[in-house]
Amino acid sequence: MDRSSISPGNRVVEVVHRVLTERSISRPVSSHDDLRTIGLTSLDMVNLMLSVEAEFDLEIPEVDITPANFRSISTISTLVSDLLNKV
Amino acid sequence: MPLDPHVKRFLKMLAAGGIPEVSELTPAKMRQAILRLARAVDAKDIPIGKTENRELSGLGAPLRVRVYIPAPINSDKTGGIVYFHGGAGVFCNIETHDGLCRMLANESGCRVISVDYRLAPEHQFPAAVEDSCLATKWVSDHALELGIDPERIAVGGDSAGGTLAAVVCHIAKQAGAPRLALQVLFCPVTDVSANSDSHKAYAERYFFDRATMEWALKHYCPPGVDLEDPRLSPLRTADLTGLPAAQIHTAEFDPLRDEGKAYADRLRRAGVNVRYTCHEGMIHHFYAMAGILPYARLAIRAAGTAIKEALA
Repeated sequence: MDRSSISPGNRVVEVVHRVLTERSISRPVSSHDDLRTIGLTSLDMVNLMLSVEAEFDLEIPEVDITPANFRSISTISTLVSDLLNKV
Repeated sequence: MPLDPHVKRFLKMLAAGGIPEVSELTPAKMRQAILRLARAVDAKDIPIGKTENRELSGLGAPLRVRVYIPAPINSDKTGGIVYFHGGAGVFCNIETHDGLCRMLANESGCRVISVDYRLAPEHQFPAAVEDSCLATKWVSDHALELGIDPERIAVGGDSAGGTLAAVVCHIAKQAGAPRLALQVLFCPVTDVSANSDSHKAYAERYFFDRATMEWALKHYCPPGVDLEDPRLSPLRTADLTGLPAAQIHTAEFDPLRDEGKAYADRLRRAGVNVRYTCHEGMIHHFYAMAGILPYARLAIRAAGTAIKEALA
């Protein structure tokens, strides 16, 4: 299936769920939940950032690598949409 | 040199992910976290002639090794590298260093035997040293069967695996066997009691930090162990003469940089043939992060070429 037909927001949800599953975190996560509070460690967050880059084949500019941008599914989706629109 | 831009981005990601809470992690959780990180940063899909998993009769339990055979596979004997992964003696395994071992085999033209030595705290020091010696002897004893020229066997390792490689050389020298032609050390720990300038300068925020080191050492060492034991701190060995030629790599922004260089300097003064490279702009573990650090690929290629020349 052509992944570009899935909305960026849904692809972010998939990536986050993949990282959570790897960590065996199974509780439901809403788009505004704080991912650190849910239980992701700093190394998990690095995994998540690299997974987002791989999923969208983009390099997140250093200035955008901030805790605020990676706080939740919602903030990551906003970041990715902004980056994709810049291309 | 400033930090390599790709390294800088990685460190920014670590910082944005929050302060690592290493002291709260159990070894099991740390192992899983590092394995997941390795999947994200290790070079993937590196083609190789062939790999083979083997089990040696170890001390108490079977000792697993993976043999990497570079293409072309034929009856010509190649050099051999017995490789010990890093991970402070507590984490990492054959999988976390798979990309690195594939590249080393390809670039050096040698068969690489990666050793799954026992980890602490389940198996504390000196279990890893014993397994490393056992694996090296096995490779030496079975060299021809493995397609390896017994005159061209090297030991190699990174970080705590670099320590193991160095220590295997000391023990082999004392025992008079097995015969080793070369030691290749990437960012080795050579003195666990060191408090060098690089330890102070890069104690935090450069990935492998002081908190992780202290955490790991506590798990690795049984109570009351002498931190100056040469099998923990090879830099503390009185006599370094008569050791195999050494290729030592350090990274500029690595707490272990100074002790790696100090070991290279002492070996050289003892008359050992030493080739020393400090990789500017790099951090600890860069060699196993070729998936996200383009420089790592170049560095391993150069390291592989140097091994090929030394074992020619």
